[in-house]
Amino acid sequence: MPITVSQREAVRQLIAHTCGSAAVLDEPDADLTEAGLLDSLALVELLVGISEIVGLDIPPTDVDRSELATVNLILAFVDDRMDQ
Amino acid sequence: MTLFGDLAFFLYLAAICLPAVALGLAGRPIRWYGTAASALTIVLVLAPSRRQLALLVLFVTGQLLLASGHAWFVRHRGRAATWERRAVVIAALLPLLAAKISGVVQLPSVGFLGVSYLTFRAVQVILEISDGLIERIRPWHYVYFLSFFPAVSAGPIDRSRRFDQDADNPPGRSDYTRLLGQGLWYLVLGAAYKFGPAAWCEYFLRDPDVVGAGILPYMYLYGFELYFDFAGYSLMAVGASYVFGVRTPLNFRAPFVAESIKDFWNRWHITLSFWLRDYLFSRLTMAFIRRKVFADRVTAARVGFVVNMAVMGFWHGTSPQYVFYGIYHGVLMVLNDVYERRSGFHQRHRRATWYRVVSILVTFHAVMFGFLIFSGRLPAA
Repeated sequence: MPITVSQREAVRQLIAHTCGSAAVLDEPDADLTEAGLLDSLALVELLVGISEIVGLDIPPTDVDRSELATVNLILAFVDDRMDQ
Repeated sequence: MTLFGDLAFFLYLAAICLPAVALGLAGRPIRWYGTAASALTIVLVLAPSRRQLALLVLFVTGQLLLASGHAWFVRHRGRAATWERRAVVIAALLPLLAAKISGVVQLPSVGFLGVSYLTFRAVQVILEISDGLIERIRPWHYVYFLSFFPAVSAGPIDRSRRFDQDADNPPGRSDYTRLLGQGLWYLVLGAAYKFGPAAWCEYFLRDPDVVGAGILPYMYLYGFELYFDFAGYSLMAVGASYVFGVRTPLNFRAPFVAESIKDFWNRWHITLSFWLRDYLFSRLTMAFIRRKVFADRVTAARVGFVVNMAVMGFWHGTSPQYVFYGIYHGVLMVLNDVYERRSGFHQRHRRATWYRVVSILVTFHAVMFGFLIFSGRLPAA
């Protein structure tokens, strides 16, 4: 089942909220981990948020952190998991 | 014979590595030979203590049955039975709890070589079965993962799916040659750490003049001894793993240039720290957030930090110094988090060289003080 437009927007807002800055959405290919915006808590917040938005339960060890390094990668990750 | 500890072991290691090298260079799988070599090594190392050997065999057998039973249950009944998941995790943790508690209440010890490390590896498998990431247990693969001799007694704590990838896929001649070269280098470097700086620090720590000279020289010497001894051991374990075609993850990455306590735990005893992050901190914090146990997510994470580090302390032992050590680091993690989130000064200067140098010095001393607690030499501990 593909991700809907509103779910996609909710995930974008979740990323902005988790990183504490809406500016991250302007540079969707910038590395969030390198910028210190995606630490252990942020990852947990993302996984909980994604499960609330799209109903996917993703255990923390099912994710390689490099898969979630940028805004675009996170969106692609959710897309990909929704397709499975 | 002591693992990575005496000449007899290194001569023995050279001998048992030769067939592995021959298999590796021929591009053949090393798994079956590695399993036999691990069994032989464990029997030889534990020969003086049959009790420990018996406990270890019992442990591996018990965990194998538990993991297989759990995988069967999840395949047939699904993942909805919370009671079953909890019961299995508790059962898998029992050997570690029993070993730690038998130390406290002065019962005959039920601990054995590597019990803390092996239990965490077994629990990882159980949790990933619960998550649906592991569907079946292949008995001999599981036994090889648990008893892989380079990492059996003191880590690094590898992950089963990663380990199986390496053990299932022989790297081929040219990749193996590179891996072998790297492995031999780690073996030499690790031995240099352990028998060079670690041994010197240990020598001075036994000198009554040094010990009597006050707490500060002791603190630095003890901290460096701990680092060179453990990092050296870990490097040798990783080096020997590479010879057997297994890319066991590194355990240390220049910990004394960490710029914060959070950064330190990404560099010190990495496989333990990441294990706790993935299997305890993340899950506990997710549960707190989902159930809205705390008013906000940041508080949930901070409670998560303290619990996580307290468990880390307990994992080292039940003596007060270990538990204090864990709580001390939990509190430091919280202070680190508060400072990074709230301080405008930090935000403005965090990229400046002078600020980074000062951060390294402050972190280094906070860490050294932690080791002093760990050493048990502080009167309160």
